[in-house]
Amino acid sequence: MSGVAWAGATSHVGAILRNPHAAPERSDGLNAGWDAMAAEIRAARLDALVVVATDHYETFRLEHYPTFCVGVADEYEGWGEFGNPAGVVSGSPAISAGLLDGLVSGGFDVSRSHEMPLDHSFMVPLLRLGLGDLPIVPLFVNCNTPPLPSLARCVALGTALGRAAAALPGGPRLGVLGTGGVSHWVGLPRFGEVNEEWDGHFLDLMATGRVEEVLGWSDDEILADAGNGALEIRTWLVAQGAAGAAGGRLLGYAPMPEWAIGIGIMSMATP
Amino acid sequence: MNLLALTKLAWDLEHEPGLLDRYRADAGPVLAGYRLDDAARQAVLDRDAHALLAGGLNPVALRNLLVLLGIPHADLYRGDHRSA
Repeated sequence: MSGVAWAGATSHVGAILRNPHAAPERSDGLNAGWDAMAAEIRAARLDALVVVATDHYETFRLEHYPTFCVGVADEYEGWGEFGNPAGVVSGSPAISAGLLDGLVSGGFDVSRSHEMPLDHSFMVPLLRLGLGDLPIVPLFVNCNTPPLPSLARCVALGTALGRAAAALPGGPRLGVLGTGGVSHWVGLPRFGEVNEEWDGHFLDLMATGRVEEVLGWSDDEILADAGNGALEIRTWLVAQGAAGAAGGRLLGYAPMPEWAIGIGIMSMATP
Repeated sequence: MNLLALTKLAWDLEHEPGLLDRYRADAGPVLAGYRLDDAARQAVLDRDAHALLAGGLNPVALRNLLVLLGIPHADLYRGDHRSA
């Protein structure tokens, strides 16, 4: 079967790599979750992985700020910003071009980038999951510079992405990985806080296929309850939309005040 | 505040070779190269997260800027960083 063969989502904070054993009573379980996710991805025998993530004013700045942007390069360099991982990961230009065509013809006029360096929101999950040798297609979603795309629009983008993937010539097997969230505050006075109750509710809704309730949340509510970092749940919604089925399996969750974030890891159901 | 100028300053300090060192040696000439209004310029010199946030700077860019200027993320809103 071609199209989206695997989908999932994970948090992406740099401390995952910099300080992986910060609190063994909780971080051990998270590391087991990432190992399980990595094994799932390997078993899915993917030809390429679409990584749906954001950016922290490294690649996209106010001079040029897209809402959605797909990378179409043959390789991508990691910024290595603020001690996060650098390095180069391979792209898949043909799959990128096919997805770009499919998204635009499907009603999503996404931008494209032929040179799209990646920050930690892409690089940390790729390296933690041991996917440095898997060609990727980076898909940027504006998660931090209002006006943001609506949550419903992100689900719709995922649905269109799934359709575009299924229509690719040659029937490549694609994965879709969303990265970001869950609760955390970046550059705000509440930095360091974690809202475990909010995280648990969000993850339960995603795992049980009740995305409609999530779509009823306003950004102001998310910001107040779970911080500006939680606005990155858009990438999770794209991944679930692309998966084409409701629900998912929680591979790990822990509040990690040592990393100033709540960490979630989930694989999405696929048809 | 001129938010475009502030985000340009933050990016340049991070990525332009030698600029951060020149800023540390003498901030004035570096800041003169950016279209900052008086309030933004003073907030940068004071490393004043409260003022930058109130002026509308995106918190992600704010974090980048002030961490580059030597304030740990956890301390952005704690204390007075003017003379540190």
